[in-house]
Amino acid sequence: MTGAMAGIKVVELAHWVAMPAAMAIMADWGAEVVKIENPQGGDPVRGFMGMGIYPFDLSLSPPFEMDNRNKRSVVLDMRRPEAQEAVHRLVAEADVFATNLEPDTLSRFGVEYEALVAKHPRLIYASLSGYGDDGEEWERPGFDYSAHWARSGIMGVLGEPDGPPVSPRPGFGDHSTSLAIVSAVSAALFNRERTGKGQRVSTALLHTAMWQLGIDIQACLLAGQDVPRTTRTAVGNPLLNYYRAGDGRWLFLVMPQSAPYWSGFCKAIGRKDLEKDPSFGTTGGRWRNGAALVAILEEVFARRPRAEWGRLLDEHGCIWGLVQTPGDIDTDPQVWANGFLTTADHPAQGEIKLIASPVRFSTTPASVRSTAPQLGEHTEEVLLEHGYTWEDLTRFKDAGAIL
Amino acid sequence: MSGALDGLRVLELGHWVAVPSACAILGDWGAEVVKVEDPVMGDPMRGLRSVDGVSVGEVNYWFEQVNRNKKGVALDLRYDSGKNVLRHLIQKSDVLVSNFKVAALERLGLPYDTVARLNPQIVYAVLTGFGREGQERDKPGYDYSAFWARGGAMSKMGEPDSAPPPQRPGMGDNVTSMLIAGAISAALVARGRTGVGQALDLSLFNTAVWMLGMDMMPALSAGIEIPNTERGKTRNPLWNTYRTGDGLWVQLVMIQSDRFWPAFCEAIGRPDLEQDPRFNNSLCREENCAELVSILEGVMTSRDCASWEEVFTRYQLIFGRVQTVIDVVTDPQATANSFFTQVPHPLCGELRLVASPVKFSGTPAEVSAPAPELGQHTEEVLLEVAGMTWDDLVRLKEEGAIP
Repeated sequence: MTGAMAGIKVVELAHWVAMPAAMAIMADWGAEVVKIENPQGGDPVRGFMGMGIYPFDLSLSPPFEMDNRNKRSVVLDMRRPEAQEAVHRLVAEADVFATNLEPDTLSRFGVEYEALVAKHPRLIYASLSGYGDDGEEWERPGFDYSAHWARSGIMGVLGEPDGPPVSPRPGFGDHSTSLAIVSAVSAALFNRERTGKGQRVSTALLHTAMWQLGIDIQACLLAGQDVPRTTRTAVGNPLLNYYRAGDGRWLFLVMPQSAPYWSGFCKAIGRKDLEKDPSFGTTGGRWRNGAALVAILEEVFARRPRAEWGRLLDEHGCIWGLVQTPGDIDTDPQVWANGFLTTADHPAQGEIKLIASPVRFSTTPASVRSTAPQLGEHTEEVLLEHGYTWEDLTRFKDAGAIL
Repeated sequence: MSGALDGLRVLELGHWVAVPSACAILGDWGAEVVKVEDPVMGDPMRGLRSVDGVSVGEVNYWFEQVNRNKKGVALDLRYDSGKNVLRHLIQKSDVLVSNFKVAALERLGLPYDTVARLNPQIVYAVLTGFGREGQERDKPGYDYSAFWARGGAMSKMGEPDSAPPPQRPGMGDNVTSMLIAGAISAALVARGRTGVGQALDLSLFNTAVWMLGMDMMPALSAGIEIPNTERGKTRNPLWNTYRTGDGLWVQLVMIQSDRFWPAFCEAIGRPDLEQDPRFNNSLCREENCAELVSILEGVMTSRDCASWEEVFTRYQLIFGRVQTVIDVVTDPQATANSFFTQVPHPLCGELRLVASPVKFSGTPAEVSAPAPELGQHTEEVLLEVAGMTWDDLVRLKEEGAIP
């Protein structure tokens, strides 16, 4: 069985995380992705060790492996005319051009939308910016920390009242944005089948964050007042809150409608006395006396380890969840049962584990066929496929356009 | 111009946020979305009148945001006649999307095999909390538990040893919605090639694992957990959050700090730091990070946020201001890029909504109608789509299968 995007060719002129992650999904779904990189080290994520992110040293860049599996790497110095000509030749046979370079860089390289669409009307041109294609800040470089997390309100509304804002995790907003990009490209490809025409689909880190925070943003749009930060010590529904168990691990109670669960919950925690308590026995009472009930529950949950609480809550039909760390994911049986992780043979490391594309297709399955390429691993192979000769390649090498 | 998915019909058996939000994206892109709801209860989101103390009288904006552009059909699926109507609708639809529990779909006679027999071309997308396999396949999952807590994000956010922060309502659902829209579009592309539909299996948990990829990969490749971000001791002080003189926060995002260090020192009026042997390259800054963070904390409180923005922009540094949600809805950059859209609403005049987070140059997204009243289009859809007559409707009404 082939992937949903089998036969689709993608030229990726992109770096960092969001756009490469989106094209990793496309590649998992069967597209052929050629990644164009500069000869000065290529995509900066290749060099992620030593950027102050990881307190350890590995011989491979974990995030580069994640977001560039299944791709071929071609090194081209886009400042050279030969290189620009080569990209145009690749694009002529491609279905999708994917980029997150800044607008002035794209024009300097001769690959801005207007330059490509005129010659290739069937092309899907996928671009990503930090703050949108218009407005005063259209050229401002945007990373997910700034354009997505900080600017959108997510960072401002997370955290305890009066506490500092909550730092995001690296690439968190980029990976959510990758999902919007993939949907846009897929929808545009679907549309092209019927109309024969390509188009530009552009996404902004700020906009995807606003979609993500839609419930809060929608509240402000209509109510005209800011949403307050919440504190876990005084929630309106203590059964939709999280508690630290005796072994220091956290568990999340998720019963947004608390009434049907209250009786079972009181039994599960061994506090049947609370069931008919005038302060806590009704949804309204729990709402009014939230802080007092949270304090009681904090004390209760601290008495046993999390696994024991889990068993008790399950026995009494309560809905709850584990608060996990990334290190827990690898040993989570639910993860492996569902194929959320996959393995691949790495030329230097042997078998490595990778996160699978986050959808399962019943007839066009996603697959990881190869690990991330070495910088320029496929330069010659790809250029030869596109009609260049060995003499051309020698010339390019002499001119410094390829490595 | 018409939307990318013009002419497609999507049948939504969804409730709460993730699946309705995905169908809102598909609807914005031109698909006709038919939302089937229980005539008595409807989507429980309709009854949600406040979140964290913020509520709006007449208009349920949360419901509006994820249900615009849809037709509402009220159908009681406990009646055979109701199920029969649904089978008619399935035969006339391109896509069926649901986040009902797998067991509930089976009880309704809607497992994939049955649906595919009725309509082999249909794309059948089902969202679960924890995946369709494994011991927890039937466990109900909200984004707080299955996405935020179980997927690792919650434990990684917040300072070490502090309580983890809760996510905002629907944040994980709205990320997942972008993936659902993408997977459906990809399956439609594949259908163009193969002539048949397929089943798509998505989960909140899996989406979270994808998003936290940069934390997952070190855990997967080296069994190493990256420590939580500690503002006071971040290893790259140029990639950190600082409070400014007026109490607002700025997020610096200079991941490649050596590149920006000289300009940064000048911008903050501390050229003496540039050659300071404690800080003059990224390794020294990492070694002496606590010291540098504390210097920068002092420096950053010397001006207000707006004036730092002006300075940092002049020096072409990469940063973002930490906004509140109300800042976002009045952000000129968001308005200039049409991140919002508006639609006439019977109760509040013009209703402002978050627009679908992608701009298509050839097939623009459009919001032409607010969320439907419960069952608003029942008769229209049953007559026009399911091919029923007024006599059929009278019978269904007498039985109680439609209101």
